[in-house]
Amino acid sequence: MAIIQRKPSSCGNAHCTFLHGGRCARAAEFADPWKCTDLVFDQIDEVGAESSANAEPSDSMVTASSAQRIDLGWRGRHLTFQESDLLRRSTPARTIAVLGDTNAGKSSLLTAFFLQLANGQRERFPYRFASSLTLYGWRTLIEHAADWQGDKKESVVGHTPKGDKESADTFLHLGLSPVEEEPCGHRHIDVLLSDVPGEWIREYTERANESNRQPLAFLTYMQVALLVIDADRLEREGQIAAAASSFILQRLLSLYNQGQTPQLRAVFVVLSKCDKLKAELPPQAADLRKAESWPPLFRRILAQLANLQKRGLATDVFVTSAFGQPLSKGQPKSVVQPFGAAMELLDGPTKMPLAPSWQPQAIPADASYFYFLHAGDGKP
Amino acid sequence: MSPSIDQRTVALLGGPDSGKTTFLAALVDSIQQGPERCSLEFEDEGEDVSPHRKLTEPLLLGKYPQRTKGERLHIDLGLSTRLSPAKSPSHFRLQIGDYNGEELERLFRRLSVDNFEEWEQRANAQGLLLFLRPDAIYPLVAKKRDAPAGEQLAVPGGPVLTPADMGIGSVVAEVPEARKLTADDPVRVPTVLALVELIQYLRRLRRLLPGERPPQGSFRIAIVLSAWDAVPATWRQQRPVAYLMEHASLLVDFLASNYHLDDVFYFGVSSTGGDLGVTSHAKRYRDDPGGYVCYANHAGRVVQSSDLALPIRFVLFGDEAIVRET
Repeated sequence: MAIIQRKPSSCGNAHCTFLHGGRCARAAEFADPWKCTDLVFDQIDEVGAESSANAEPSDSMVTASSAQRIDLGWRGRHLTFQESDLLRRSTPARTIAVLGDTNAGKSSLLTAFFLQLANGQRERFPYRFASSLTLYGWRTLIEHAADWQGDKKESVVGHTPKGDKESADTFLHLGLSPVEEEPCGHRHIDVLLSDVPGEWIREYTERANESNRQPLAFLTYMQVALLVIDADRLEREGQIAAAASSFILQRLLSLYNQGQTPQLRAVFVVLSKCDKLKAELPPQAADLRKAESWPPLFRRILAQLANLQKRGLATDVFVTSAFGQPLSKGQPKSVVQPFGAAMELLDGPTKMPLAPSWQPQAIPADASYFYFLHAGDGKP
Repeated sequence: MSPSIDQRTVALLGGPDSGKTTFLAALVDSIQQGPERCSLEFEDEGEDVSPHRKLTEPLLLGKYPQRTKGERLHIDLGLSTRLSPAKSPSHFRLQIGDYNGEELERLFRRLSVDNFEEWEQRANAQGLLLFLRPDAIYPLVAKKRDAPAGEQLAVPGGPVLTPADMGIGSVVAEVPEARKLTADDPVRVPTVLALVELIQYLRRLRRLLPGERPPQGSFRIAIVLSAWDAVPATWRQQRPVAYLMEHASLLVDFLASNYHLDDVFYFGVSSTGGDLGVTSHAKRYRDDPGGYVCYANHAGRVVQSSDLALPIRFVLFGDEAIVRET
């Protein structure tokens, strides 16, 4: 049987961090790090035989028998938790959990971020768009946003459907390529961005039982949490709304303290819909973290952020406006910044060692995903 | 001694009405007009010339070639070309397969394709001509709501870009950056997502990992911005990549992330030199058929050539094929 999985399993160069999301130690010699001769590939060949002579293909190998597929290898829609899990087994994907209550503006933030990236408005986000497994998912969100004509009573991108908790579409995906490393040291970085209904987050915040935990299982491997808070609602509803957001931060702190989020490095608060805000916020970015410079309404949230910071997590606050007006009327404000800060932590000079135990793994035969290069499949 | 013949396949991709068929027809016609008009020369036009005739005859009547629904065009020609006057000619068979542009959207929406084998061939072609019609990448929002009737083309806002503002993939070792938009600029809605998805699919068939660049020179892409004559003059004076960066920077970024810079080149192409729907131009075309290609040369200057074969020469032979013209 033709086994076509061809991910390298390790690198013989002790200084190389490429397979763990870093840089090929011989980047100067190999413009394409996948071609570096130090990479060690599993002994698998095109016609089929794993070099260990009598190796029996296991369920976890891609085989020709699975090649008669009628799909294209990926759905284009949001990834389910299971699909994202497969991705994480083949690449050290960065996972950014976008959290927040219903109608906080999570999907709007994601949509506006993608639009800025798609239009080359990257601000200080030093990555180019390189791929996406969820292009259709992105376009669906964009079409909703494009149809929105500014009616404040209407949702901009529609409410994220709750769906089936067991197989819900959970993630949007982006493949990014670092701009500053061109043309050598070229890398492809997978980023998973959660896009889940606020009801699930509220339910889990209120009661962290197994049933409520299940659809948010990805929290165990998130590396950055973006808590989106509707600043306009905060102002309208006052301390009640502030307390609700604080509870989410408390839940994150509990999970972190219990060791249930071992990869979590940062929690950022993203204040959304700030174009509607009447209160004056601290003018300087440096003041955003000083509680005394904020209106009292925000102090409860900032206090919880300070708690998280004490535990060693990076924290910050971002003031954004994804769709303060219809798309035809103007640009989003500061929507790229939270993602830039997240990637700075996950891929910058001081990046965390991502998934240190990560090793490439063979992919189950039923995997439907373009990393898992099936030979001769896709036949309609 | 008969010259060695390479078999070379070029894939044409693009959405519906992106100008693929008109380009093919005009190209075949220009080859027939001889070396003054085209750098490709017939060696062997094959047993059956009826597809070529069917393609070119409407043009010679001053009309755009029309394809019936589901009809597939396939060009198979024995050709030769000289990369420079001093060099001996390269002989090759060029096979170009066209397809129904509607398949692009179906692939995107329904995740299915017709004629899988044809797509596999396209994936394994030596090069790709990717057609985009500038008025089709006009931002969706503005197209729906704001564009006045009869004015479908985008006009650059803000400062007018000069060629020096933008690099070009093939000759400058960096990818151009998009113009920074002001707070009041409309948000452009990317209209090339289906095209990017299609290229992702072809890359998968070619067994390329996301972000993996094929070996340099093994696969080249010519971006063909068709109907270039209809693009506002301010844009035509600039490099075609500048137009694309302004209107579809997602595609430029995607190509830069997945292909060597030297393997991608941007052309503005007017296959018929103007709109055949305009009576005076149709008459002019009937008398003297021809189109033109615009591109940025090695010095960054925008050059216009009457040689419609340049995009094909680029994907087959690389930069060397463009030098002839500069």
